[in-house]
Amino acid sequence: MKRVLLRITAATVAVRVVVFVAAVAALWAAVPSALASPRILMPVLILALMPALFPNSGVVTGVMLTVVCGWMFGTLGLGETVSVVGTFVTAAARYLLHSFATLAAALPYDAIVDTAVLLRWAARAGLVLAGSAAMAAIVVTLAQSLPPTTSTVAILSGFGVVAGTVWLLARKA
Amino acid sequence: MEHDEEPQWVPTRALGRAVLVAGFLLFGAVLFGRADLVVLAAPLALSVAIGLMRRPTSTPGLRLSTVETLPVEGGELGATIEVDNSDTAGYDLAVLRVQHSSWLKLADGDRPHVTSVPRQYAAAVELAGPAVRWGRQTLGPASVQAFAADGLLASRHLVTGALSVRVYPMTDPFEADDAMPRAAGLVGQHRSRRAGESGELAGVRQFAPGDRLRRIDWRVTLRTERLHVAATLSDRDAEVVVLLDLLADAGKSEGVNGSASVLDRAVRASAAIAEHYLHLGDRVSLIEYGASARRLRPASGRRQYLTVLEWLLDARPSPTAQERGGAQLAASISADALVVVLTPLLDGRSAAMLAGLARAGRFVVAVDTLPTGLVAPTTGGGWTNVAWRLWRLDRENTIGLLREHGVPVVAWAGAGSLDTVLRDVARLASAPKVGARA
Repeated sequence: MKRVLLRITAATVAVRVVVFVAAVAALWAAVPSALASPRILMPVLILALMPALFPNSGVVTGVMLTVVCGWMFGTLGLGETVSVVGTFVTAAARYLLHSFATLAAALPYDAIVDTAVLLRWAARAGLVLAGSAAMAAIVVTLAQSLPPTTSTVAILSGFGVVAGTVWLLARKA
Repeated sequence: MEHDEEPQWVPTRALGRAVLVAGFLLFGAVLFGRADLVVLAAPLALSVAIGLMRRPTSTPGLRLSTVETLPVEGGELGATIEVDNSDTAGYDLAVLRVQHSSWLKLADGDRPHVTSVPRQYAAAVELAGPAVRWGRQTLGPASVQAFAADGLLASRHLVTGALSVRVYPMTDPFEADDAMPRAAGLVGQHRSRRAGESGELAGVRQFAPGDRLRRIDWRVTLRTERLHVAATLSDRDAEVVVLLDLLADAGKSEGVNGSASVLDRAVRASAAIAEHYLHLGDRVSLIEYGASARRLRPASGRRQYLTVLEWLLDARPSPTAQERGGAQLAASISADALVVVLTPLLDGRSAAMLAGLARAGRFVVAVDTLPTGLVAPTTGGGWTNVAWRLWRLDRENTIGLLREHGVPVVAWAGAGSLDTVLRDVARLASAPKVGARA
């Protein structure tokens, strides 16, 4: 442990800090407002620390699914109202958690990292978020209104994204 | 069938995670008809889509090279690791690692280096630092793992071979001004004790048949009214045999700026002695006294100096149960050669070998290569100090016995180390020998 602390580099620490902050934001945004209190902050912080410490483990998937389940519990179970901005902020925070955990998993803790790697990674994440924002705007506009009404657009766009992803995965290199 | 061919790019845990979470959200969106779940899934689905659209197919190229300009201990060495991307998709990052000998102090050489590699581009990481100890040091192997498609795909680890870097020993400053005991060749730079053609004045004597006219000393001739010539001493070359005792090693080797082991001192001293005598035009040969019993044939000149340095790179402590005695060694050494034995005198056979060489009539100088700063081991109980002192006394006794038998023993101290003993050896060589043939 002492050796790790002595050798860890600033760039890898910075990436893990981003993972931690994104995890805190995603978890806090997913906590139903009925349960949100200072008492729940500590478990959120501890849970958010896990992906930063173990980015190359199943913990990241667990935290992301926790965010999704928390969101679904709040909106479907407790019937909380959903805002477009709130939804997108949660999506963005969860994506940043995923993206920077991927980067943290690829970077050895003691690596000398070229700054261009971090800048390009951040730029790509920004690009994905901008595209997602545009997609969200289109989905929301088409759906007219967000839940609780059942939306045909949601079903169709969901099927469309699934089909596109499956096609990309199945595509021969 | 191509099923045996392993894929060069494999999905990372991130790809599975993204597909799982996005699929879960989209399944929920379809099941409950919720557009907000589509918004939640959008960044993940989009990143997977963008990432996989530009996935690489070919493996990265990797090269490890060094800028080797015959480095000497303490000199700078440069190494370059180059990762090449000939694909149409760029690599988000490439993690480069290189292993190397601990004697190559490359700056951040023990850390992984991460760089991005755009498509159709070769990125290089340069490492530089001093090589702090002589020898054949290893540089490599180097390895690379590249990540592409937003970290969703990772290449397999690619590993290069290792390079052998020659680091030559630093020669301790060494000068020996005194005459060689018995110069042998026809030409050279040593002032011998025999008359001959050179600039070194031996005296003025009467002209004799065979003397060259240009040698006539006109001042003395006019004063004495008889022809006199200036007699000079001849300049001769000589053969120097450097014998490295590799039966045992001791001391700690810390490189060029730290303490030196027996082997370090022996190698550096050998290089210095060889450089000095080869510079004077003498023939130098090297012999290993150890298991491998290597031998470098005598030769002179710059080429021989480089050969000596190359030969010294392979010097290793090589203890052996059976080693040749001094008489056996003497049989392969010219009778006129000066034998410089670099020995720590840690093995009883070393002293016997020195005595054997001296008995066989060789001109032997023993150079003590045992480091001066050796201290008694701190472990082993109360008797360790006593045993240490006894050993030191025994060793000093051996050195005294060798001196009594006509083998001068001198501690290696660089410049001028051998002057005193060389003078003694030269005097012994010029003295008539008991029982020598007329």
